[in-house]
Amino acid sequence: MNRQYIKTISIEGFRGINNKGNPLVIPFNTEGVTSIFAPNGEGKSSIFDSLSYCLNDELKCFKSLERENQDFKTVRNLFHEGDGKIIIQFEDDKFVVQTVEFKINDNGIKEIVSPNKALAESLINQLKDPHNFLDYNSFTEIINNTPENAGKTFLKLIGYEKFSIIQDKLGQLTRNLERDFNINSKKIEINDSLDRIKLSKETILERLKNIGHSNKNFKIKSIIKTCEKGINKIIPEVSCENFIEIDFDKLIDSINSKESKYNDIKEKLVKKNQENEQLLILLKKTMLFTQTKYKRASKLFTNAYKVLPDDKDKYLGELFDVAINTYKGFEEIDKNTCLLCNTTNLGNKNKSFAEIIEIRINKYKKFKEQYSDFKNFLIVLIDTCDLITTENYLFSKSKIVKKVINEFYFNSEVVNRDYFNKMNFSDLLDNYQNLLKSQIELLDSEIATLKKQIPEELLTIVTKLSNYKTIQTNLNEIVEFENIISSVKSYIYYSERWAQYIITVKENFISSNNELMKVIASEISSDTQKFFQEIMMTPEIIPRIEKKDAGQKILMLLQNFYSISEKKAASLLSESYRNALCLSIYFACALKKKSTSGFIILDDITSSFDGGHQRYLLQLIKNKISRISNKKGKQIIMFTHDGELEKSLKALKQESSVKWNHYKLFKESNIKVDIKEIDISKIGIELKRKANNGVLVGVEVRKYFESIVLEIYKQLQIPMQYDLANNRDKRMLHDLITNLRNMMKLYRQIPSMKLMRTLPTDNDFIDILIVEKDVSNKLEHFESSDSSSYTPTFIVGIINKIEDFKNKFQYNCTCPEVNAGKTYYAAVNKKQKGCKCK
Amino acid sequence: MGCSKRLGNLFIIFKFINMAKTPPKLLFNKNKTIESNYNEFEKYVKQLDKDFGNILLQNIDKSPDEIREITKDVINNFINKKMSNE
Repeated sequence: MNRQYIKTISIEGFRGINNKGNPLVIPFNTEGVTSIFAPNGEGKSSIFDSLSYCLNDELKCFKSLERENQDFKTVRNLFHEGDGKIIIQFEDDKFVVQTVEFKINDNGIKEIVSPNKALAESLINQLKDPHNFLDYNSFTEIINNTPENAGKTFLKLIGYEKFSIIQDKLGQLTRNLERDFNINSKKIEINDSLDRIKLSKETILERLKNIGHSNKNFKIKSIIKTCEKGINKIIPEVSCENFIEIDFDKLIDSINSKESKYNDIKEKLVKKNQENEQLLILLKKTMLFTQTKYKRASKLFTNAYKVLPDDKDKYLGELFDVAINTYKGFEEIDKNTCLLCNTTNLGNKNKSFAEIIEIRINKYKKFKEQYSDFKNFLIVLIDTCDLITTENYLFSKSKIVKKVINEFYFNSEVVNRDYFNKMNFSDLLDNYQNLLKSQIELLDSEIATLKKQIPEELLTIVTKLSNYKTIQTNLNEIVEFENIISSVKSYIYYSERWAQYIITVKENFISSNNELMKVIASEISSDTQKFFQEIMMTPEIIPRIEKKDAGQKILMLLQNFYSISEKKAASLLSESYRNALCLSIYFACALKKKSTSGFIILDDITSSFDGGHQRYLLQLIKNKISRISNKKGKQIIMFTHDGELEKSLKALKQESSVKWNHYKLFKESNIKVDIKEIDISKIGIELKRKANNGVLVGVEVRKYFESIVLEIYKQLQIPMQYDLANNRDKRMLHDLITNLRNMMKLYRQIPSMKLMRTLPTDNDFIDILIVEKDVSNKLEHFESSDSSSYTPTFIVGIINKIEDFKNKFQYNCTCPEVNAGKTYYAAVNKKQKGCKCK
Repeated sequence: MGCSKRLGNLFIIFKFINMAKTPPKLLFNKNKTIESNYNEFEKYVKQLDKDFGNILLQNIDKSPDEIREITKDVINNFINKKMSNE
């Protein structure tokens, strides 16, 4: 995988950058660092946002705004005519350059308009990662969260957010698997079907016995053959090749038609037989509805009741919900009229019954899951309760629904866990069975009377055919229920296979992910400690990142806090230390993450640090994080508005030479923003030009003077505290020069120390201290008091004196060979390589 | 009829074979990229069960509820296909 770096960006018509026809072009240093300094309002955030919007679909300027205040019409520069344009050039490890061009329309919507759009989109998708961008607000996100979220933030930083999401999903998928797939109720369905098959088999054997066949073993093939032979004997002219497909009604009709004088009696007989048949089926079905099932319903009801809150109304709603779901299965709810009772305003004058139902359904939706088991059983119960509910109770499915609604919803007396227990099931069933039996007996006697009126032979044929018909019907039922069993078994098999599969995946994923995260956390922890020390230089405080065994928790601890151990970092550390920890974690994760993007973009990350720690941080970026000294490091693009930090940036630019680009942004008007590369050797010339043109440059001259003196310190390798170098006190220059003067005096008094010949004398120091007084006290004062004492000539003279002072620390090499004519600093006891000058 | 009973037995045998198989192990490596580790996961879930592996991977971006419903649909499709073949 080749890493991609940002080579250049060209911006026109985006946010604060108009630049019509003359886009702002910034070349970034792909091998190191690019720092961009700009005071507020000069376009720094516009550049950050142009990168963030194109590469990550995010605008920092909108981040803290409510959605209603995010006006995307301001994304394109308001003074710019036509579409905004952003062109980003990427360069990979092998120096292959790819260009992606974006168009920003009136509504602030961006679109890739590169010639090879698909390739460009693919590249941008590969680079998309919110953690390529870090600003001050991100610190809070990293540290100021609960441990769980901190863990997730950490995973995001190292790019494993997707794994965290997968782990969550697998966890949710493995919860309540039995309930989700209704495996228990499916098992009940199999038992019910087996009961029905048993009943059909008994009926078939009984009918076979009636006809005169005795089959001890139930073998379908043999039964079919027996039946086919039997029918052939009664009616030889009928082809009985396939018993299952014989139309017995038609056959009986054709026999009856031959003996039309008995038609009336036969019709009555058929009718009575049909009635009898139905009653017999009902009687047998009652046998299936056992006490066990009734007890199960009661138990489920009681269990469901126990977990309910005290608020009865909610419970009523749940039962109502059950009823409605059942009801929906039978008939559609009419929006205006209740199909059950033809009422339009049941319970409420302004709302139809259907509307009330919908409101109730929505209100109690959340209870559905809790009681699904009970609910499913209740539906099955309702489906079969025509068998047990003859005692002035229910007679049809629609009436059952009406009953459920009335009793369970409107009549609160029914909502009682003892309801089912109070129902005398046995009596109810016995009564019903007795009723059926007496009706069957009555019908039997009626049938016997009718039969006497018909010739016996004819009756025997029709009776036998009726028996064959019953056998055929029951065989079909067996096939039907076996199919149901087969289908339900398949469902259970696949559901259990899925359950087993998803549990295995989850467990294996969690253990593998945990191991991986532990190793990564340990490595990140080690890097974080190193980086934290380099920024804060406080050995008494050692942070540690720790991955817990279970879950996704990742803790940010303090391994050592002034000899106290294992404390949580977030609350104990001060803001600057917390931010240093965040930065350390961020850098450690960025370096660890293996991704296509080889860059990170930092915006004002140093705000909470004092001058010294800012310099330490910059040194860390230069030496460890960036590609300047670390091959696996990142290309760094950083923005700052901190004027003091800018001095350090300039100095680092000088040290890192070609691997550090430093620019200053300046906005000429709302028309144009431009950049200027900072070159310390050219600042003097620029200041003189400005002074001659009457521009007030007092502050800039002082900063220039500071840079010169710091440069001398650096070149002479004189040790100096960073705090001194970044002291905002106006006496800083005076202190630095005095310090330098004392150093020179010291060196002159030690005979063994050999000084280069051009070093300034003590008188030079006295002169420059006078200049320093002019610059620090008078020049800036002159600018504020509007005095005319200091003419451009005087200011140019001061700049010349400052530069002369610097030159006194330098010498021109006269060696004939390599270094001839070059200027070097006269470092104490140290010559430039190859220089033989004395 | 009798066929469904045999089919039921076959399911039990398949289930037994499936459970008896030692499941492949999933291992992530800190030196691999996130994509490579994800590829390992893809390989693993397919190896464990090709049918369910494909369902899981195709819908991994969806919510657990959606994945559950899709799985149920797929299970019903499996059953319908089996029943129509019989």
